[in-house]
Amino acid sequence: MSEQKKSEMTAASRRKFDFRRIPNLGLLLVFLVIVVVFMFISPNFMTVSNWTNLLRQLSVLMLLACGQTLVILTAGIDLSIGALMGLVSVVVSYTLLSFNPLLAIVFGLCVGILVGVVNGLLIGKLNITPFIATLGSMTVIGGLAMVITNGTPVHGLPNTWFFDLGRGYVGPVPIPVIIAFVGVVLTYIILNQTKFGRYLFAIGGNEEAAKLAGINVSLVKIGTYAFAGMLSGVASLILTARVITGQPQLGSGMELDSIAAVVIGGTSLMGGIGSIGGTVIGVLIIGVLKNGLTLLGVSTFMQQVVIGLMLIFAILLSTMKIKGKFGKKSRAG
Amino acid sequence: MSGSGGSVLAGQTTETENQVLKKLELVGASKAFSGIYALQDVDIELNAGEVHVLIGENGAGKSTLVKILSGVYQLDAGQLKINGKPVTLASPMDAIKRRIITIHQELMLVDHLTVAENIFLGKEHTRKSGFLNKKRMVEESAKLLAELKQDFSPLAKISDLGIAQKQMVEIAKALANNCQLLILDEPTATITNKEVEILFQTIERLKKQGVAMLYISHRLEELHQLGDRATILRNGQKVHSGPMKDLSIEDMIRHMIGRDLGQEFPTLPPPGEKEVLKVSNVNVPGKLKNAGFRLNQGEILGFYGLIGAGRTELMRTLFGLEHLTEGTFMLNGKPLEVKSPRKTMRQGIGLVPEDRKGQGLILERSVKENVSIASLDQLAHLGFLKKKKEAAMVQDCIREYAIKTHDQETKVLHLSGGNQQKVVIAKVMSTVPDIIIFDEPTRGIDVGAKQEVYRAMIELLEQGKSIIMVSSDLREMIGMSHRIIVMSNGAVTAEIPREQATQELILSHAFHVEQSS
Repeated sequence: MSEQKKSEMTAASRRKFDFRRIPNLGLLLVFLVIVVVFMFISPNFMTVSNWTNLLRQLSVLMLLACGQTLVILTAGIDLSIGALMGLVSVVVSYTLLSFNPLLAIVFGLCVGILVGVVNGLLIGKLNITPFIATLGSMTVIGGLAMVITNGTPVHGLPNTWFFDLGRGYVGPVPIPVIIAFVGVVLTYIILNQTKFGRYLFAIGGNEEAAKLAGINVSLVKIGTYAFAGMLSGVASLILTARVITGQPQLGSGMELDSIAAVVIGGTSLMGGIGSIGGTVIGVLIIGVLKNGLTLLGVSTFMQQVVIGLMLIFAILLSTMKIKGKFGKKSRAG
Repeated sequence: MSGSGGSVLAGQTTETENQVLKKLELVGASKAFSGIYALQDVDIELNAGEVHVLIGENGAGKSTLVKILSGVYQLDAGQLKINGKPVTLASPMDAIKRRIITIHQELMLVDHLTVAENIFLGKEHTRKSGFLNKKRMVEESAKLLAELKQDFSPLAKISDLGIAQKQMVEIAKALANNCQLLILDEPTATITNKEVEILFQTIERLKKQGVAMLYISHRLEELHQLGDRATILRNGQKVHSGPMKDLSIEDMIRHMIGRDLGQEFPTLPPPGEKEVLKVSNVNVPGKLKNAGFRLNQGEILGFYGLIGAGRTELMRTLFGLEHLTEGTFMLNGKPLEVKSPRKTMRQGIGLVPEDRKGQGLILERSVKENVSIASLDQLAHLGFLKKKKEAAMVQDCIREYAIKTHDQETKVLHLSGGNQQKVVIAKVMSTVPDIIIFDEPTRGIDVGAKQEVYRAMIELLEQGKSIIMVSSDLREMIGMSHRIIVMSNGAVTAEIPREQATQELILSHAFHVEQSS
């Protein structure tokens, strides 16, 4: 009798399209349900202009979430990417005032990478726990940005092509969306097609085993935080270009949104499990919820409550999934 | 135990909890997962005061059986009867209420709490005021530890104890719960002979007190010492059940794998003469004292010692994982850099670590990723992975080491212990090392897989490689080593060639007792 069951199982795996194999299926369904619900209760939801707006606004969070995904996959966390946006915004603005946009972009990205490297050194070489290390760097960076600007925003930026980064279009597509898309693709490739990505998963899954397999753990961690810092820099470029000011407190609080998106997207805070696809859907879910609720006239405070509930729900689901795996499907015998 | 005034549980006890377990039977037990039977129509009978041994290869159904008895799984077919009456164990709590206590291979202790706190976890003594009665718990823990002849304090933290001691805490916990059926899952896999003796004495005592016991072990040679009856499983079915004294080890093996095994250990090819590795004057404060050894090409150098003797630590110094104050390492006559695992591996030395789940594998990742992780440099071009090359290499490894897995993408946590070990070996070998250190290579894996590991080791020798084997299994040590180095308390106490090796001689040096002959 077990022979028959065995052959049934192999037949199933030979079937061309096994629905269970779509990655992040559950998440995708949740997203579609939310979209459908809003489609029915809000007439302006399913319009080109609304979605263009929505996606452009999400570009910043998308970039932050991509970096955060890599960091959380190593069982780390980066609380500094929000404050980093502020610092980059300030640096970029001052550079724009005195020099040209290209240099501003270069400096901005360099600051992002540099801060990321510092985080990586604190965490990878000095073995400070990521929460504490990035909490510290977040506070320092935030303070630095305020010190440099004396607490006030940087105004009077010259009108150059720089602002297209936040306000421009290529055809019907906003440039921030294109930049975010490139960021997502880049992150996906790094995670899934490179040695570095494999090492990342290994470190998050079992750091001891990764070390014994010959992986240079501290170097990979430095690279991870540097990448997150760079993406934070790109996000800051977009947002600074959009608001046409250097804001020392630009991304304040967005690090938490990025963590929420990553967790909703199915990446485990313990490291080793997760995907960019999930994060993308996580960001979309947050974005669609906020957007739909705004169209319905729900206050931003209430929106925060909803997002928070969504986050708790996501964690509950992922905990149940893990328990289910080890309880039922674990190896027999 | 039961003489110390009945139940040590706080709170009310019900009728079922007061019932004495005289006999537990499983009749026609079946359990399937996703259509595949893990257990099919299995009968087993456990009596009070009797040690019933459960034998079988990994995947034979032993742990499924244990999980059914401990309430984790429910039967798909068949019946569980206690004292003749049908009973359902709907949850682990039900099993515990009926005094069925399981001591798992993975110890379930809380590291940061003390021994006494762990023993009474969930069943703490409280005063009338509601506050914890710590004094009473510590006193009773001390009594239990004394019964088990353990000399550590009930106030010791679990994290400070060795594996054998932790196991004794688990047993004390079971005793504190007045257990009537004690299930021991591979209790001797991680402890050495001295501790095994104490465990066996404890089991004898429990027998006299009328406790029924189910004992699972891969170490067949020790089963005659304490087993009364034995049941052997193969592929989820019961293939033999009967008195222990009627079963020889060959019988057991034959039932387990369904055919004769042949020799337990393969013939060792003669070793070479060239010295490939020389380690000397290794000092790690608190762990190693002036330790050292020489490894020749084509030989298996065995390392024996009690837990804490320093064997694993000595191997770790080669990989830069210990705080050396002194030490010289020469590889083929030239100095060996021992700064990090990466550096050592690049110089041609590989390590199959002691704890395969904790150090050797990334459980949530696939077989493919685990096999390739150490050799991605060869499988990548400019940082980008060549996935086809990787898949081909992993396929070769799966074939070469006979790794039983559904496919490359299966997560390694779904594999049996033996196959997990093969994945680790495949990973290490894919870096093409010249010297391979096997730390407890066959711990917790079944007879069939053990043979495959031994065969793999012989093949490595035939390819001109050299092996260091750290093991706590004396038979394996004598059967598979050309020379045996014995360590005790961080120092090397003896070097014994195979021809002169006996279990007593090795043990005497492990205990650092002067031999008169």
